[in-house]
Amino acid sequence: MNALKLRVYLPLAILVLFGLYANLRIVNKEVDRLHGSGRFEEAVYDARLAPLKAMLPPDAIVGYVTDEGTDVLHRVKYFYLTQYDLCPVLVVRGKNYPYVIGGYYDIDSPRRTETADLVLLKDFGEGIELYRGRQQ
Amino acid sequence: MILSLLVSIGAPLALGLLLIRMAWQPGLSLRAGLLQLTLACGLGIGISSCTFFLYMAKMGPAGPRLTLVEPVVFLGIIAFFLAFGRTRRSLAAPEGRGRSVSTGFQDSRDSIPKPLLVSFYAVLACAVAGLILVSINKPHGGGDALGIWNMRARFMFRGHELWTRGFSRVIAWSHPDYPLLVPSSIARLWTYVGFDTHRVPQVLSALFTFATVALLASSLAVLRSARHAVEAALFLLATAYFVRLGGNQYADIPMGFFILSTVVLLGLSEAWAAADGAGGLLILAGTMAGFAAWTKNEGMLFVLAVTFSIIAATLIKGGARSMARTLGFFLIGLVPVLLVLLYFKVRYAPPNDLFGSHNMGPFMARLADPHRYALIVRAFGNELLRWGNGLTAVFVIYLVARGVRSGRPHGTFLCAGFITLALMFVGYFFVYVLTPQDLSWQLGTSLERLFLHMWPTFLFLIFMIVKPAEVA
Repeated sequence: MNALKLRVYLPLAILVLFGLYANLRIVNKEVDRLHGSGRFEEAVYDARLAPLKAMLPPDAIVGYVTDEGTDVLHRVKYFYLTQYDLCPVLVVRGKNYPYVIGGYYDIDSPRRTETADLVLLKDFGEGIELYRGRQQ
Repeated sequence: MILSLLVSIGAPLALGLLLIRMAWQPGLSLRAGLLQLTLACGLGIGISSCTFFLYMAKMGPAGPRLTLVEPVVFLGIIAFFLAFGRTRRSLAAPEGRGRSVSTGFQDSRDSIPKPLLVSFYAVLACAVAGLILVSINKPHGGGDALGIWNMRARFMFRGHELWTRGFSRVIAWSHPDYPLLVPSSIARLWTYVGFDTHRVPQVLSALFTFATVALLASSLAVLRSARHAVEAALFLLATAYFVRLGGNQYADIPMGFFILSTVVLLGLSEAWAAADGAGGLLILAGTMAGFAAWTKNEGMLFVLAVTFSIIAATLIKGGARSMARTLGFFLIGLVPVLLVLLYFKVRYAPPNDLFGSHNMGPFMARLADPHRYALIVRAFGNELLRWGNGLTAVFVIYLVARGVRSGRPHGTFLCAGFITLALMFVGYFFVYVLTPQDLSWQLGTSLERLFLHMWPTFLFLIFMIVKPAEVA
């Protein structure tokens, strides 16, 4: 192969190999995730929130508390999922609302500390609870 | 569901295709057809998102009657453009020059070596598989899709009379001031399908992801050569972050698509009508720029940058008369979309978290803080160096080996394109300087996405000047 051809084809060969590697890495990582335990998390969470949603008036603004010990990414994810599932109910972090949702990722965490001063209205199980908030 | 989805995507696509065909009628070819189709895709989705939002704003929650109203609106848009086209003869590319590209654009030899084509399909197949797997693992999308775009769509679809709650300051964390192209498109499709299935945002995001690849490839195939098209598309597909964000349903992908569309249409208008520019293509370029602003707040920066670039480039290359004509057509397409955006911002959106404060003290303090500049320069430098997990190195090797061609046969749009990207780069820099948020956090969570907005357009502009392989 002469120098001219090498100049044309070598960068292209590198690009193609790079492209294959970059995309196969995604495929590999996502296949691992597919076989992991987290795949159906969101669907399970959707189903878990359904009875809670039925109890809330659509024009409500509800508070939200969670176990602060949980990994921040999980906290954010489940807070987002809660708001996403409960639309058009507005979900706000805090307890100064007529209703407060307790959303606990780690169901064994000592969560009662955050909601000790609130009245439990219903425990939906699997870490989802509804409290009467501080503001009536 | 599949039939409803096909009809609800097909109708705006047909509208977009008709409008593109009214502005540009190239000869029959696969590459021109693909280019028209990808442009029509963005145009149709953009128009239908605007009409859906206006429908909800004026007539309340959308229901089955949308299927009766929307075709009438689409026919009205076509009638308007037909009438406008008749009164403005220059709307379409000039007769005689409309069927072939101006000299100086395309390369004389135009073939793709078979191994290169096979490699391209292999990388494309891996990218498709990657995007599908990300979509399966994150059915509602990544953080921003879940917390901003898809959630706003849910408010619009599920909210009924309460749909405007999605713009409440109470959920300021969800950036309720962000524009509505993506949420409105999703809610519109859900209205047709009848329920809020996660398949809709998945399909929409995949559509924009691969439409961006197709737009980049087909525009270069039309304006340069098929080989340039394949090589540029390979660079975009090799950007794993691009594929990943597509699977995560982020609005940064449509944003990049509309920026690229604008610059491609500016290029087509110059290539197809030499010094005069084809009016219809310039109008469409303005509309696409408007859709960038209707997709994300950063799109407003793009609108300012591209408008300034058009003024500067046409003034330098063609004089005041050429500038006034080009800008006039561009604004005809841009202004209606900006009016929709303005209506949303004034009537519904709360103040922006970055620029909502009227207190100038902290603003000036941030502007005068040298540490912020140092941090941002370092972050920008790092991002450029590690772009695409090493793709920068591959890109540099490729450019050094191939070189860029001399002479400037199509200077105006290239000049405008590069000025636009440079202004956006500077603009993003100062957004970071002025942000009231924690700077390190803001840089860490957004810089890569901002660069991705510009990446497809940067590739397009660079591949317009890269030497053909045969003469390298």
